[in-house]
Amino acid sequence: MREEMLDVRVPRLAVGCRVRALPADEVMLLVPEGALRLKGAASEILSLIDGNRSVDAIADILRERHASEDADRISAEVKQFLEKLHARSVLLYKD
Amino acid sequence: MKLDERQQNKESTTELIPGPLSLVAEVTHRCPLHCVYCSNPLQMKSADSELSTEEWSRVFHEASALGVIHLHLTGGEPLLRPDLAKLVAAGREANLYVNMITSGLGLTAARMQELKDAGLEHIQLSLQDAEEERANEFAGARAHAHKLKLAALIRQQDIAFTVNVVVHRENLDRLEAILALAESLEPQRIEVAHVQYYGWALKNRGKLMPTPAQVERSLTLISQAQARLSGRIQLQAVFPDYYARYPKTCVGGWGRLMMLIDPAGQALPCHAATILPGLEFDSVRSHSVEWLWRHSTAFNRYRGHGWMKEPCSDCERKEIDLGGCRCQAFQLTGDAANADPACSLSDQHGRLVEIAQATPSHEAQWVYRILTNHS
Repeated sequence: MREEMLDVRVPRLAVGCRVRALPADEVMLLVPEGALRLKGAASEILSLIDGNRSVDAIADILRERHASEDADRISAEVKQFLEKLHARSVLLYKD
Repeated sequence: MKLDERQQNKESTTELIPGPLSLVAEVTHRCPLHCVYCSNPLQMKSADSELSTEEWSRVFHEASALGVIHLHLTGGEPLLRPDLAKLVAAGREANLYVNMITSGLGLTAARMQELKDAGLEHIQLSLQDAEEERANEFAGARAHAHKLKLAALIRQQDIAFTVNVVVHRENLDRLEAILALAESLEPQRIEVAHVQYYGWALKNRGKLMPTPAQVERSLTLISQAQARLSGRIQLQAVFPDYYARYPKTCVGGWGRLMMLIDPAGQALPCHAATILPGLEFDSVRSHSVEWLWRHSTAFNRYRGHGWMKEPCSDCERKEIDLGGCRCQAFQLTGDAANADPACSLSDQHGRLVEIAQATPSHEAQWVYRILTNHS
């Protein structure tokens, strides 16, 4: 059962932000005047942002991929991570 | 990043010095503006000494290999280089994130398109004030109206856009209007920086130094604007260190995060380093970027904390602010190894506070940035 409200907002990276691949499951998110080194879950979430998938759709994919883990925790992690990027203005939600 | 840990091993081997993360490329010192707080040195490099396209390209590739992530193309006015698009392309080819810091003079729709096609990712456009007449006064050029027209041009191009504003005594009373103007240009970022007193700004310090009341008010206005703009525009602020309790970690630490290459290829640890006596600066014309970073005496001179004197050497904050700014220590105390007097623990701090609080002079004449060909 889903306990949170539906989140159909579609995240996309802001202009001037791009992903640079690093070895292993790490990526670097390059932004104006900064870079975020993202590992594991964060890197996986970022790879699912394609300008079409909603926040829920991204969480659903991850819940399926990691079926043995706590589903609610995964959803919460996705939202938290996206909010963090949003607060830094490197991620926008399409209307 | 765990730079500090690795930094401590400096004495045993230089191989462990981590590479810089950003490269500031001053591609020319020529500029159509004459800003009274320009961060360029008083002695500038002439056009005929500038590095070629090929030399810059080599520098970008070597910097990237050393770990640099961001390339900042600046000057002077980078648009005065006819090969700027080639420099942008060379930066991207080297896998760098390419930013340009510009006055906007010389930027046309065609030039904008050319830079975008070359891979430019971020533009920082300077504004001097919200009032045209004052803005042009600080810039020493009729530039303001043209700058305002550029915002639309930049936004059309899907390039990250930052509006930079330097604030000081003569424009701080209009900070609300300045923030509103910057916001109306719809950038992703706004940087509001209090003047840092080096080079040309030091010459104009009496006129630029804000009053304590202005500083106080600017802190409030900026934090209100940050809350209002959150999620839409990132507002970053640089506060005036003359009014600080602890000094800034200048350029992220000497020889720690950034390298600056001047138009003629000299590698510098910061914008103002050429004022420091007894330092020798080496050039990319005779050395690789890696050699300059690891072995040039200028970069090693104030790395880590072996050079520190009291109170820095015994200070529990020495890893946090690394003694502050070497250039400011030299300018205001005569010894670059002293604590930055912006620090309240410096025995020279009282003088700094005196300077900051002395009645500034409205009547003084501006000293405008003028390119002289002395070096």
